[in-house]
Amino acid sequence: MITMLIVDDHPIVLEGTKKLFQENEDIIVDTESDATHVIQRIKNKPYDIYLIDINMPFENGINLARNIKATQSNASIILYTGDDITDYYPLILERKIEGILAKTASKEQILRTVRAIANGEIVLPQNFLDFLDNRFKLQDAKLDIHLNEKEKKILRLIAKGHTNKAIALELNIPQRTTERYLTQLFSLLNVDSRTDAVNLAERMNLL
Amino acid sequence: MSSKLFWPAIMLYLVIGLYLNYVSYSVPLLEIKVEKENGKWGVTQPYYKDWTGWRNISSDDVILRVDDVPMDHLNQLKYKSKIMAANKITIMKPNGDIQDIHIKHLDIPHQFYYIFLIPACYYVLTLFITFYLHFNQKNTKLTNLLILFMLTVALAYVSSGVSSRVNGIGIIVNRSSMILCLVLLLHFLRDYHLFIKINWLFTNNIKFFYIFPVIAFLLASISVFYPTSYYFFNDVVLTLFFIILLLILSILLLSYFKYKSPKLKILLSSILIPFLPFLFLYSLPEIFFDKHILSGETSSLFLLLIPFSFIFTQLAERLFDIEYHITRLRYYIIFSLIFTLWFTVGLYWIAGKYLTIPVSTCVSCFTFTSLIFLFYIKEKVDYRKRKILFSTKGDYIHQLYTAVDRIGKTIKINELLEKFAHEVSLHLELEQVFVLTYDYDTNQFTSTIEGRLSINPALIEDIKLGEIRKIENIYLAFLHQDAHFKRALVLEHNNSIHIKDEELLWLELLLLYVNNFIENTKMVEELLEELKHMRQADDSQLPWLNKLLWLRFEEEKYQLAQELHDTNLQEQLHIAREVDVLVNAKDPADIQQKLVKIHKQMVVSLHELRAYCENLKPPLLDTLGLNAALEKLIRKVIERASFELFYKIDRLYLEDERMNLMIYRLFQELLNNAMKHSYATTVAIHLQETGDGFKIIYKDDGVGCNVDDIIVAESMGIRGMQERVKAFNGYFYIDSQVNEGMSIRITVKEGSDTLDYDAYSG
Repeated sequence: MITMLIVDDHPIVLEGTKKLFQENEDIIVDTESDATHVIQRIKNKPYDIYLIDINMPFENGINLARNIKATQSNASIILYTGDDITDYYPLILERKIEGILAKTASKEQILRTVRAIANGEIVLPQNFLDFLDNRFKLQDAKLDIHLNEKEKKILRLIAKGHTNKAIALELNIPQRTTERYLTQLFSLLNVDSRTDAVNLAERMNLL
Repeated sequence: MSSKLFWPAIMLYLVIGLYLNYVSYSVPLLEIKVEKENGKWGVTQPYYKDWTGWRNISSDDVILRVDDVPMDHLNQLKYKSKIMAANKITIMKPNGDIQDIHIKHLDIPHQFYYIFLIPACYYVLTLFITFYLHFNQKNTKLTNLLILFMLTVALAYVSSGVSSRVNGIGIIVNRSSMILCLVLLLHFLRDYHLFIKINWLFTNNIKFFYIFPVIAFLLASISVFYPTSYYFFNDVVLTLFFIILLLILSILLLSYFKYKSPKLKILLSSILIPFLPFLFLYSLPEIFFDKHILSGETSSLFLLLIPFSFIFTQLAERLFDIEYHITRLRYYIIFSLIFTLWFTVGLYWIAGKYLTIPVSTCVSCFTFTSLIFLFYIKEKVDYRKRKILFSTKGDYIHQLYTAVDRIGKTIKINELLEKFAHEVSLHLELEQVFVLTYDYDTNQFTSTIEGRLSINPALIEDIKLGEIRKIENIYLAFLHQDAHFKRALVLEHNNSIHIKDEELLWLELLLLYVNNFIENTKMVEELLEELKHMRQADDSQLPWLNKLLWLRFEEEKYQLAQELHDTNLQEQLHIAREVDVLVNAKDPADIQQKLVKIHKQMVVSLHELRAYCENLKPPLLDTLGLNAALEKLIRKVIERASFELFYKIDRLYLEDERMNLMIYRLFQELLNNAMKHSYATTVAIHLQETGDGFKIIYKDDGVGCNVDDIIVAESMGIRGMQERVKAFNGYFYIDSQVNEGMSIRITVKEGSDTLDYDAYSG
């Protein structure tokens, strides 16, 4: 039995996607059109798999994915987008999502991906390997990350145990901007928490 | 009492005074006591011990004649057994020699000074002052009384020496003027009380008192013809004198303690203080120690100051001016006195054995007077050079402070001028204070108060910056001048006015302040006007801008619609037709194949639509951030472009998230231009982080162009980029020559006030 929640702001897409799973009794599908309701909803009733649109007006799919993972660590997330899916391959490497599907994908592709992910496997298009190639080339090029002054400053403030608010005061910027900076920095370092960021920076002598 | 009396009074004064002075001069006063013994006149004691002629006379000598008049016939001896005055005394020595002793004035300097010289000087001085008062002051009743009072006092003083010579006229004049001067004083005081509007506590029927001088005159006349009655009548007159004097003093004291008026205080002290030397330096020491510090003649000289102190009260009509002078003088005297005491004690301690008492006294007096002079000189110098003034109160600074405070609350010039005039009028106690304004444009004068102008307004044209000028009975003070107006302050009073140095300084400072304040107020007014103007301009500008923006958006929408219509819509229509064909198809065999074909078409169409959307709304910017979006853009450019692209993208941490879109658009524009127009083989683009913003550096080795041409031609979107960068307070530098490639540098700083981007982007 697989439980799944589809999140998309377009009712037509929600309806159409739900229809794809009608014949499969082992997959139980719920839908949600408002991304901001999701977290509250899954606190009472968690799902195995979340199929999430990326472009949504109040909260984009990537943010939502992070929030779901934070709430429910065993959640599996598949992004379902009309965009070019190759852009989002890095998220798979960063373990932020388990899979990605184009909205133009066939019913079969979708079912296959959902079932595989439910079994703890991943299904990816072939061009993922191209992405990996490029990625490793680039990785070679910038094997040692050079942090710029602003990044170092932020890291040092984190290492000192400053809260976001304190960092915001220190840098004289709004707290919201600080959060954005931290997200950007964490994604650069490929870490999820402040502790990881500081540990990594120390390990790699970035500071 | 009218001024008609003036000339007769002066004539009388001249005639009597000249006669008395002549008598006084013609015969020196001697006061030698003589006694008739056995029918012979012998000398007992001279009044003036320093008389040098005394050596030639011994108690054994017999006086035969005085001024060739035999002793027995000498008129002087009828009153007292004294030779009062003489030019020549003929004596007979015991051995029978007859000797003439000639007496000159300077033989007895003491009597010469006190009996002749000082009274004569006082007489002349009084004459001068009388003339001055008569011609320079308004002939009020008070002034006339004062003049008469002074003349009488002078006559009484001059006649005192003559009357002691037992000269008939001298005696009469002396006795009657003694009483008359007090009655005149009483009269003067009554009128003065009326003048300063204080209730007169004594009878108003002063005329009755003029009987007393007449009585004195009669008594004196009788005593001239009947010498035996001389002493009795003399005592009567003196008693009368003291009664009236006591009366005057008690009236003054009473009314002072009743009304506490400062004017009365001055009046009282001007009468009492001259008595003090007589009391403390002569009478009291004489009574208690049988010794006097100052001789009776000298100390009574101070009494003569009384009329002069009254002049003070008359010269300046406002009495508290005098109070100011007196407090200042008192202040200086206290300081000088303390220092003099200190100095004298020190001097005595150091050099006491070399100095006689008179020398020490002289030194002390000299020090004392010098110090007082020094204080006055210092005050003058301070005022002229440093604008510092003596003040016993320190009130002026406070007044200035509050005046400035009150004036400072206005924001309009006219209101300011009115308040200023009001403050000045209040403080200087002048009824008529106003600001006169001369308008250069219309050549007209206006003043802050309605009604008459007591001065010729043209005078205002002459006065210069910072000047306060006295013209007849008014003061005219420069206030302010600019291109359109000249303003002056006019101060006037019903009577003549005199503004003290202290008040002048106060006024000067206030004028200076007001001058500056008008300047500032004008500036504020102008700025307000300008602001109002700008706001109006703003109001009119906004609809124009809105219209423009609206038109631009409509244009943009129209273009988007057109593009969608021409591309995607046509494809979708085509697909719909194909599907419709399939729906109605009779042969189901081909359907599967045809559907696959349609699906492919649809996917292609979808991709195109997505690309279209991506162009409108850059992908990844919201989700993965600027760097991912730029990397994607660059990847796409590399796929399509014929040149080699070198790129470097720093990670930016920008406060304004909307800045990311601008950077993305700039990259898009720069790279599109490179692909479409540059014909370059290599292109380099670099997004560089700076301390407070970012830099975009673009460089290609393409065909380049003439910079002015492309900016004017509005091709390549260079101008659009420039405008966008400018809107974010950035700088856009472009450098290119034909066939030399192109380089563009864009710098944007954060933190500086960016224009409202919302308005820009709609």
